[in-house]
Amino acid sequence: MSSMSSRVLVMRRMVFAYFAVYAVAVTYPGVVLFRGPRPFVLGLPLPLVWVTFWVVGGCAVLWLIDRVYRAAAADGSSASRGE
Amino acid sequence: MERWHVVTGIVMLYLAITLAIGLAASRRATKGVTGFVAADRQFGILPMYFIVGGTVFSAFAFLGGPGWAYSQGVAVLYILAYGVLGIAPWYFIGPKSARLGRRFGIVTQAQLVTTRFPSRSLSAIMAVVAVVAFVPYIMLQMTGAGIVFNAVTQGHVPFWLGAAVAYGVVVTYVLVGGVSAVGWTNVFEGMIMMVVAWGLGLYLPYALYGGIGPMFEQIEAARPELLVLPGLRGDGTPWTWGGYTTAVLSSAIGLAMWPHLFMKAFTARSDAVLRRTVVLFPTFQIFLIPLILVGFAGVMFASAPPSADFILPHMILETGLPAVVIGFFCAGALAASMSTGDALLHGAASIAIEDGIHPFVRLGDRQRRLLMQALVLAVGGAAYFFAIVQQKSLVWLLLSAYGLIDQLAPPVYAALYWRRATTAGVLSGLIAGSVVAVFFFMNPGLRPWEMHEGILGLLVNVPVLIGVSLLTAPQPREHSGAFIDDRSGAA
Repeated sequence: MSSMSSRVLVMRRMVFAYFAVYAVAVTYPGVVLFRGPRPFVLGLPLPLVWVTFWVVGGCAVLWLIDRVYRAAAADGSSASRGE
Repeated sequence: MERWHVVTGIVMLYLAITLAIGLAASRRATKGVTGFVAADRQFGILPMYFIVGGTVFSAFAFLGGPGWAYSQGVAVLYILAYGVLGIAPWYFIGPKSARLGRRFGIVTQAQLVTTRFPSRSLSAIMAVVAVVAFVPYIMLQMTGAGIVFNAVTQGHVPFWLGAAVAYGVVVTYVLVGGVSAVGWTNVFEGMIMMVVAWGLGLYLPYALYGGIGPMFEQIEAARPELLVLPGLRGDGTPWTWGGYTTAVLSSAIGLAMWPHLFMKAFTARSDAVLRRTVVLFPTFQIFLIPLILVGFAGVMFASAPPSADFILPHMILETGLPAVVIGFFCAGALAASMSTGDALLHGAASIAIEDGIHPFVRLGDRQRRLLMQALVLAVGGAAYFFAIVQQKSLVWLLLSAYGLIDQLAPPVYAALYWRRATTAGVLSGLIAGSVVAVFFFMNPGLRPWEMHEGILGLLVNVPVLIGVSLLTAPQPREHSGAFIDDRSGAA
């Protein structure tokens, strides 16, 4: 296995881990500490900010894995394909 | 000229442009089934981005979303929470399904599952589940279109006429252009939705409260219960953690499983396009935030709308905005409704023929396409008929459909990732899960901890799938291997 495909595997696990934590963080019991309404952040109540934080984080994580995938695809097209 | 004349003029202009785009796009695809259902697998990132965003965010986002924030407070955050969570798995299963689609000539979700688990009953059940879930969803979109048209013209355009005009346009372009028309009209509709949502979401809190912070401070002083999770139920009593949590989970699991959305994986030109679509999806999803803010802006509003779902049109009409802005709002709300309704109509017709009829009666390519077109008309007509007498709140209809759609997740994941799964296991799990979901939907009082019926169905579906699979003979390794061992060049 090339170092590139092992990076893909690591990244994949990170994505799974992030979204598993996300699922718990925005539902019971993870969200209980952030149920609000105070403190306000930028004028917004805490639960709204908390959920938005995980959504934006999800966006960043997906963007990261896509970068690794694209690099691996470029790498794979010049070398052998597949894992 | 009266205000409603200007509003109607702008809406008619929007509808005319949409129809023109739909008809022009219909020339892009070939005339066979793959052209009608999967756009010859040639969609690039632009139509894919808007087709996914436009399909996911419906009339509900424009009306029900603000309606929930207004009447049920932060309970509305469940919609914001589940979107990215729900689309993320598509980053992996989308490209994998698309590759199998190219390899085996698959254009629907049920075809993917039944290519792995050959069974005509399974195909028929998946088709029935899809169409049963689609019809209330299409009705919901038509109702939304009718409500908005009626409200912004102050009753001059009756509910039945508004829905008929908007969906007359939708049926025409879907009929002529299939998914190519759906994709390219969604680009236009999606842009209108985003501009209108962001414009109003930022404008209304400032116009009414002098800013977002002051708005929430006033709400906290007057109605603090609206700002504490899990928020309120529709009747104003506190929601439960069980209800809120399973609403998020059920919607997240179901999102990518909606057959009309799932089958768009087969329209993408390449794996890279599909992946990019998922990565960009949250940028579309964030437009729920201004819509939620609009709903909160209604809490301290001087007058109350006739029902919570009317809060956004109600405020727009009462704040004395120029007619042009009201016209654009109406176009935005119609765009949200139509960009979902078109994919549903197209999906219902394609799935009914490809998965419900074709496995039993061998039909030629041309006959299937003609039948699909006939069904677009029939399903559109039936949904319109029921929508006119439909009275339920928008969100609950949607949540009820998710109960059935969730049951499609185990068959799809088993087809792609579990070698030991068998046709008998998948079939019995799907039937058991669907029966349980329908039972608890009919008897909501019996649900433990107010859990969503989709999750309750899955709690039966998954163990039955696993148990029956292990008790039946495994599939030949070379058969299951074609699905399990498929890997892209990258991973």
